[in-house]
Amino acid sequence: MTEQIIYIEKYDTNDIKLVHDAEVWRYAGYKGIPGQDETELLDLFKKVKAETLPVLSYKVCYRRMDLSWDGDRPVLPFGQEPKEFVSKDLARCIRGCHQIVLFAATIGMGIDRLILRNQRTEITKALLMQALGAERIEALCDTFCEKLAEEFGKDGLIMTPRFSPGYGDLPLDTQKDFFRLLDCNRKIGIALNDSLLMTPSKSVTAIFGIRKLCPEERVNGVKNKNKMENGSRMENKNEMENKSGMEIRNIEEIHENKCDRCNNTACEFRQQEERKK
Amino acid sequence: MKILDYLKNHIVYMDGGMGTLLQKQGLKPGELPERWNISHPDIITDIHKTYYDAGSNIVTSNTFGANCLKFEEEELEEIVKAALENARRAAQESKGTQEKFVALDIGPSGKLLKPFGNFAFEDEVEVYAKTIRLGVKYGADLILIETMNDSYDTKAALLAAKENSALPVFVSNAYGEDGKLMTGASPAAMVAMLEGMHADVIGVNCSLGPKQLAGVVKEYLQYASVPVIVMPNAGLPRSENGKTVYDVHSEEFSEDVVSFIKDGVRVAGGCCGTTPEYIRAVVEKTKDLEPVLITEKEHTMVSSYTHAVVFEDSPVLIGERINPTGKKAFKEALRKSDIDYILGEGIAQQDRGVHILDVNVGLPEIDEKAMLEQVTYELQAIIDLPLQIDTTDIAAMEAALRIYNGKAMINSVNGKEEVMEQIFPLVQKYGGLVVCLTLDEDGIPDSAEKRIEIAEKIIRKAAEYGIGKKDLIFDTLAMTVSADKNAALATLQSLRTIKNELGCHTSLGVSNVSFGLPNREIITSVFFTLAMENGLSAAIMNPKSNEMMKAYYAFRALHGLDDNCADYIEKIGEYVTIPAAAQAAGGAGTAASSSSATASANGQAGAGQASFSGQTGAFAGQNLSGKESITELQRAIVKGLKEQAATLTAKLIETEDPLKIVNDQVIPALDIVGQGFEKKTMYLPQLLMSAEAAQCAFEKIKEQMAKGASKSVSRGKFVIATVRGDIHDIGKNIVKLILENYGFDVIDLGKDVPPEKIVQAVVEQNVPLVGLSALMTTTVPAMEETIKLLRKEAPWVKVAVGGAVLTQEYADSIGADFYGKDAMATVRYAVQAV
Repeated sequence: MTEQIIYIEKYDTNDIKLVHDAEVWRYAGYKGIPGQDETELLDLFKKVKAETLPVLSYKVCYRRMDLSWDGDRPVLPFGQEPKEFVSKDLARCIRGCHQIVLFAATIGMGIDRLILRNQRTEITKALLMQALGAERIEALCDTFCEKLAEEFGKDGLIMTPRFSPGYGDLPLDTQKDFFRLLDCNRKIGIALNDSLLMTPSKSVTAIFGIRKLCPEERVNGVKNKNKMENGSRMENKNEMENKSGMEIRNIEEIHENKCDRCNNTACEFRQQEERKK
Repeated sequence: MKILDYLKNHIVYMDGGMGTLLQKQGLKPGELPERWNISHPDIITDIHKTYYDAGSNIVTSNTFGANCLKFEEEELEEIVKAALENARRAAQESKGTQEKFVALDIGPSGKLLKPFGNFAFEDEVEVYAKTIRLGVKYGADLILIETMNDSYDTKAALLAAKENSALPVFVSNAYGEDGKLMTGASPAAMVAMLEGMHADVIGVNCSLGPKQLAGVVKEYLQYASVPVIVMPNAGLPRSENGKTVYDVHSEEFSEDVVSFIKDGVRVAGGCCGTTPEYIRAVVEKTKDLEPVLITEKEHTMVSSYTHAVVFEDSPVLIGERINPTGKKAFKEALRKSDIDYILGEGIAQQDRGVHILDVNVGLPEIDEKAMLEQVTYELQAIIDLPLQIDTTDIAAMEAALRIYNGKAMINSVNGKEEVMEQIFPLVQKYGGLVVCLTLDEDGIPDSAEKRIEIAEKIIRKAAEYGIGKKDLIFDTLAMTVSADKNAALATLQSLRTIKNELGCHTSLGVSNVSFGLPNREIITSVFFTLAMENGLSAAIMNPKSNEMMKAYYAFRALHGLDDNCADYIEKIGEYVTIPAAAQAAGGAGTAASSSSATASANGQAGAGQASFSGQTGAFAGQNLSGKESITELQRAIVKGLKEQAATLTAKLIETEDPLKIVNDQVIPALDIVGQGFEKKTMYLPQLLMSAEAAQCAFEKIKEQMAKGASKSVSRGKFVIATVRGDIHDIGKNIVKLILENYGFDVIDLGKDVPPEKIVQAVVEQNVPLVGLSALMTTTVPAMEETIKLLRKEAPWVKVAVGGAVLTQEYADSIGADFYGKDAMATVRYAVQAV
């Protein structure tokens, strides 16, 4: 059922997975991890973590809604006329789903202040803070999604990867709909400006679909789970750091003539669904 | 009866939630509830009526999101008019016999203000002002500003209310579980700011259930001298069989709210999830209670956007370093609008442990109003200390107070009628703690008695403006002891009297006392100690002086202000210097080794700054492991060792021409790193560390050049900016730093810069190169617009573009001359272009 409630989740540092150093270095433009002889850089990184991590405040707000389909097209609550809203990439991503979850996540303003302060005085530190923030907001999204996936799993439901405005053919403009539907400012303190930039800068909005497991999946597990959900986020964050499009291609492969659920061409469940359409 | 009169002797009941009730009536997700004032007036009126029936005195109009950002002006007017009519009709139709009022409800606009957002403070004031003017026009009894989670936004709304109506204003903020606003303010900070600006009722609503708000409510009651309002949520929502239910039911809710009322809360209601049932329960339980008397709290406070500084027994330190008086480098920074320099002074003082920063940027040849406003804005973006605005220019004072995010200290007023008549109206409007100098038309009195007379006069005059003693802090003027042997005594005596007899706080600019004497720190710090002993509340002082900091921590330890001497033990080490002899011995070794290393480098890199590309070639084969071929300074820069780079440069300068150091050492070192970066053997963090280390070397070189006759050599001017709409500028700042390293005179216009401003800077200073940065697809059009305008107004200029979303193709399509894929690429292009 479509719920009126916008839920708010707040997390302690302990709830979120540990900082993945290599990921932070990658965001900072460093290939690999600095060697032991790079003492200056490693010391700086330690300092950055010590200063930054305590100011983070992990928050998510989300809303679960029913999803209806008009043939191959999901009727999404986006745009001026929901019935006319089209995003093929998103449609592909949430194919077979009967519900969607919209969420917004942020690690708060504290890090923005630190970055602003340090880029005036110690820019390397600011760069590392920026990178750490990028890693942390992803970690938050992962934690949130994993926890929900666990909940949904109990009800025999499975989540698609998350998909963000600005990714693929989902217009960045959809941010406005997310903000309208999630009341982000009031709930967790994210503001959207006219350029569709979010503040705090380390914030993410995304949508994912929820679908039922097909009988085959229930027995043998989700075959395409790894392909679908291992690191496959389709995001357009504020900084547009990861714009590869890789994940989209994965999804396309999955969906070609195969059951959305068990990846099996001759799945009975799929044939039933086809008949319904 | 007027609401404020009624409030004097009664507990006032607000209404409860509106959103939840509208959803039950069919409001769809994402639908704007304000439109229902027009489309469903009966439903809205009915909800209001059930609240009046339940006993609410004040019902809030359904205008939470009614602002000109969401609605066209015509529709906005229709909505506000209908909303107030609906509420008014409900009051008439309700059977309740209580006093009834209608509040114009004002919720946050949803915009985040600069510098973290890109909405200007004054624009925000105008957004609220539009709705407020309509509220006045259509007959609201009061204004309720609520659910504000940002102190700055709250200030904008309150200012709009005060400037556009004479109605009472209730201000309610939304706190998180950490007891802070979303942008960081503590309850005490909000009390300080809101009371200063004369909000009539202040308090909290939304976010949390009553139990979680208890701490915040307590803090309000502790500090507030005006009535406190509380409107909690009914706890947290969850879904039960498709219905939204909240986890705190009316019985528990009302119990908690009753205990708030018993503690002194005077205005109570509910927020999300509460219904008329909740309000009825509160009214039932408290209707026979005597309201708790509201008392004047004697806390002297100032605040920043995060916290309040309360003047109590422990003296407050006010850093004096942001002030050009007697400082050559500071004056130069002001003339060149080098804001980073000023911010650096602020950060350094904060690191030394001051509680407040004095801000004085007055210089005859600059526009002080613009500068003070900008510095205030920039300081409060990165430093969370309260500021003391220090100027004699009234227009500058007002500009700074207006945009200040909190309750500032105001430096200063004195016994002159004219000055009091200028300053006190500003204090009345914007709030503030005023430094009052005990001098008047006749100058500074010699005697303590005279100074106290002036103090009394100031107190009387302030009272006429509704400014109480707690918002005045007296400076009895420290005079130079070398000019008058009794000067210090007179100051201390009047200080004591003002503290003890007038019961006021005191402050002193302590440094003056030692003027003209050798080893000034000694006199100043002892005077500081004496002043503290005589009851000094705050000192405007130099935190960089170890003697001062020692005196401060020792005084606190000796005066029972430091439990277990914990602060003393923790801090004192920082202020005890290494004996000079030891320092000199260490330094000598460094100097010797560095100069010998220099000799070997000199032979290699003689090309100098002008032939940048030639140098690049010479260093092509070098890498970090080639220990023999690189000097110690070069190594320090390559490795990003800032302090070492500074020390080595300082030593080199003693024997070498500064320009030669740049050409033979710094630039080649930067080249090593630059090439490593381009070959991907070194990465961005390393490039930046080196750039910072080089910057430290340049600082030393600049100091030397400023002393001598040698002129600094610039490669040319480079205007850099992040285009309109883009509010993140770390990428731009990275490029700026590297460009500066390579000798460019970078004019940084900041972020979110309109095309006209960029063109203006280019044309006025005849700049050959411009760098533009954009982060989002949505802001690239602004970049294109800027380039078009530049082509028209400044056809000579070369434009380099960069930023996350840009590509070579994109850059070509918007007509840029160059696409910089990273900082080094841009530098290479710039060097070659000039």
